[in-house]
Amino acid sequence: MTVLANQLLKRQESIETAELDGEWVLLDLESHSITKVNEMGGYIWELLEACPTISQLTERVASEYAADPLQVQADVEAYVAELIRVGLIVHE
Amino acid sequence: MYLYRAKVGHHRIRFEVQTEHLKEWIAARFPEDRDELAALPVGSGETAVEAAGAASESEVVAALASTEAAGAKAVLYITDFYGSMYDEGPVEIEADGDTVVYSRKDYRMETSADYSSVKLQVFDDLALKHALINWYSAWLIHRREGLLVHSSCVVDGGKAWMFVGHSGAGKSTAAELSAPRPILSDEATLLLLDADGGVTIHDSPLRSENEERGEADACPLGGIHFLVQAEEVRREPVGKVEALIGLMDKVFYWKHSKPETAKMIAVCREVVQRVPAYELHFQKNDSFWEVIS
Repeated sequence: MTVLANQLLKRQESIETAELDGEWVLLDLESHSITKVNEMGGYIWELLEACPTISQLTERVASEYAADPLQVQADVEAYVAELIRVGLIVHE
Repeated sequence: MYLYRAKVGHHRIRFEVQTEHLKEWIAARFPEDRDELAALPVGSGETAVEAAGAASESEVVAALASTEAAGAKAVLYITDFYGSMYDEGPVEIEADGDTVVYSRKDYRMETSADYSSVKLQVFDDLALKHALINWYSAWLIHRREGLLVHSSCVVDGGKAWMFVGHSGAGKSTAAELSAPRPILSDEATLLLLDADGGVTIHDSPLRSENEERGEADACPLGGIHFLVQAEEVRREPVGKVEALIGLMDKVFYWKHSKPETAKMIAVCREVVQRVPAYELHFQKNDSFWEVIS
C-alpha cells in the first residue's frame, strides 16, 4: 500500500468531459488545459465519483475486468498520480 | 434611427442603428429579411425605416410575434461616436447574471444574459465588426445553434470546405488560391448546426476586408482542414479528439462563464462528430484541391 491508497480523491469541479470515438478529453474550464485519455482512463474518471479511493477503484476495475488486483492497483495508482499532477483531481 | 432586418438561416436579427453609415455597413453584409418585410402592412414598400414608422405599434408587435415561431430573434441597438481608436488592448468582459458587458477602447457592448438584446456603442467600422463577431458567436453558442470560427471557407463540388490554421498558416491564401470557387468566409466562418444532423456554412457577414456578400448563400459543410504548409500536397484524416481540440481553439469565444464555455465545447463536439476533419499539407498554389474533391 502506498501513501495514496486510502486517500479520498476528488475530481476538480471545473472539468468538462467529452467522449469521441473511444477517446476522452478532460477540459479544465478554469485553466483551459486539455488532457486526452483513453477509454479506460475515461471509465476510471467516471468511476471516481462512486469509488473515490485507489482501493475502491482497484476493487471495481479488477472485478469488472477479472484482472490481477495487484497489477490493476499499480496501473490505477500511476494514472491517478498523473491526474493529480496535471491538476484534474485533488486528494486529502 | 435607421432600421435593418436581417435573416440568417432560421434566425432573425433586427438592427436599430443611429447613422445611415452604420445601416449601410450592416446592409452590405447581412442578408435582408424579405419575409418579414413582406409581412409588414401595405405602404411599407419604401425603406424599412419608413415602414416601421408607418406601422402602428400593435402591427409591429404582431409582425414580431409571427416570426417568433420561425426561429430565434435578436435586437441590436447600435450607436456611433464612442471611445477612441483600437490600441491593441484586450476585450474586458463583466457578467453579473442579468447582463454581459464587453468593453474595449473602441467599443462597449452590453447584452442581456441570453444575448438576444444588445446595446452597442462603437468608435468605427473595425470596432463594429469585432463587437458583432463577439456577439454573434456568443448568441449562437448560448442557443447551441452554431459558432463563428476563425477560418476561411470555400465551396467546391456542392460542399463547403473549411481551412483552419494559426496566424500565417495560409487560411486566406487558401481562399484566394481557390478562385473561381465561391468563398463563404475569409476570416470568420459562420457555422450552424442543422436539425437533420448536418452542418451548414452560411455566407459570412463578417469578412476581413471590406468585402461584401459572396456569391453563395449557404452550403453543407464537407469537412474541416487544418493547414500545414509543406513541400508535398497530401491530406490525412485527423482523429475526432484532435479535431475537437483544434476547432475549440479557433472559435470566437471570450471566456466569461463556465456554462457558456461548456456549451461552446458541446457545439464543437457536435460539429466534429458530424463532419470529417483532415490535416492538409499544402503548398501555396491551388494543387491542394486535387486531394480534397
